Amino acid sequence: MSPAWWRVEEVIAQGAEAVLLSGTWLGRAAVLKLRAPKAYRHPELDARIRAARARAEARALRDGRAAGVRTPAVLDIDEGAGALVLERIDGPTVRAAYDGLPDADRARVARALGGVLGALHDAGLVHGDPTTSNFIVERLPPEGSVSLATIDMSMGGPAEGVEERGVDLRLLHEAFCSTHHLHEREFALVLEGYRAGNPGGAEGAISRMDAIASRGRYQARGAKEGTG
Amino acid sequence: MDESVVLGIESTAHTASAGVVRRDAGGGFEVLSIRSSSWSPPKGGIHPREAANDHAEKLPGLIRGALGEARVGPRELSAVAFAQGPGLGPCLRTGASAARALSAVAGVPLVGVNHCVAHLEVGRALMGCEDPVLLYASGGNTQVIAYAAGRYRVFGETLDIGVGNMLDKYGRAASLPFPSGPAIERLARGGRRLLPLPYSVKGMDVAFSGMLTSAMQMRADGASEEDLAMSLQEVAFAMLVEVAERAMAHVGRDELLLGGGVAANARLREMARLMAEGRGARAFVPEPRLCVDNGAMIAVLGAMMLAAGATTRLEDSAVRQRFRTDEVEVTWR
Repeated sequence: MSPAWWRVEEVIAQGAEAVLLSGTWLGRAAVLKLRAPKAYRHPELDARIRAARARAEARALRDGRAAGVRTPAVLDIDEGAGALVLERIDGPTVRAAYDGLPDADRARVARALGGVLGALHDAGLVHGDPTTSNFIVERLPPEGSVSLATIDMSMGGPAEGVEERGVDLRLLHEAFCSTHHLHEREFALVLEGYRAGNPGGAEGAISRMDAIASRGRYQARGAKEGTG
Repeated sequence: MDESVVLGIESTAHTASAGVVRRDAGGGFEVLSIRSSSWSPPKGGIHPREAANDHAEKLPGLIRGALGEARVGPRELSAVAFAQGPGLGPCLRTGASAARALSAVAGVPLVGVNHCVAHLEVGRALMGCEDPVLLYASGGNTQVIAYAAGRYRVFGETLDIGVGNMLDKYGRAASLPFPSGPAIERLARGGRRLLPLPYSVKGMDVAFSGMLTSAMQMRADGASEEDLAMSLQEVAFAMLVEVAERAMAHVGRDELLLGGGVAANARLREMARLMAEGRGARAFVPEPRLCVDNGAMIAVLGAMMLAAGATTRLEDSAVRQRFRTDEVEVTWR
């Protein structure tokens, strides 16, 4: 990734793991996601983890796109630097927009949210971190049909098991209800969208979501393993 | 609340310990004594019944020693605290019986405390942190804990075995003494090459069985003991520190506290400090005798609960092997 191709404009977000910068890449509006080195990690381990995560995230975004889910295009990757250059998708996050939308649009967004997760699951993928901050409202009527873009799939990837899909749904449920507690009941619409997006596997995943919720910690949990 | 002097009894796993602390009227704490005895299996892992028998033999002397060193008589105590759980049933019951007997003889209240919460409260009482994220890393327990909405909540934890348990299992295969952490730490200093052990973090949770299997296989294939020890530490501790950092970002805290036997490891302590520095936060690293299981931390939490009026009636003093951190109703802060 040549630095000359890239012009940084501003810091969008600074997380525990990565910093997000907006700017242009070869003249195109783009986002740079940079996983900074961690001083506490052995340098070799640090390089290994950052490269593996940049690679895994690029792959998950690509696979999501192949499954028909709107994700940012991966414009460039520099594994050595732990850096990804992504298409910039403009619009508010569902988290920011949801509570302020009129009823009809909230219903559209709720169904679309479930639909996107359903489509990912139907394609054998999980999002890994489906909070409402990780979906962007790209378009709403009257500009066209509702379009949600899915971002930050760094914890996601291929997962065939009903347990993983149940965990993913459970995470969305927790995030949706805690962030949008005024509209908690609208999670039913999210599930409606989910069923439409994942007609074959929805019921299994939904009942697993309920089972996981009743388990709680210190109970036997399904083996979930993520590699860095 | 006036000054109080509390004796705490710890016996959740292989360590039996008695400690005495003084809490002044302003809520300041002083450790007056700690007396501990650790049971080691002749071979293999902890056998709960055998450990409990050893604790039953040692506890009277440990209690007498702790009271003697603190220069207090049983009747001068304000309360007797004990670890009510979580832990191994027979070990817990031994400590609870000793606590019930002493509280009856001395005529003072009994306070049953949660062992995991005690690891956090000892840091708040003695290290000067206010509202930390606790990275609690021991043999049986590996959790990231913070206070939120009236409870101590587990934000991340191991999905399979505790980090110390992983080190001990490896140590058993490598003929190292139990607990194996200190021997692995010594060997690790001679390590040169980082071996590709699997790194397993999912959100704020971790898993260790994959790296254990992988390390055993590498050992069987002739990898150097020193390289293996270093790699186990580097990979396992990086996982712990990463999830602790995630939790700090998630709950918006700028204090990290270490607790548990594995927190006595110098490399983990160093990594915790580096992580905190990197994010403009502070790391609080208690001295090793307060990181490992000890009676003083039980006494500290007991004194806090006593001041809040949260004593334990005899009929409610049964031990709880699976006493969850977030079940504790926090009435003292």
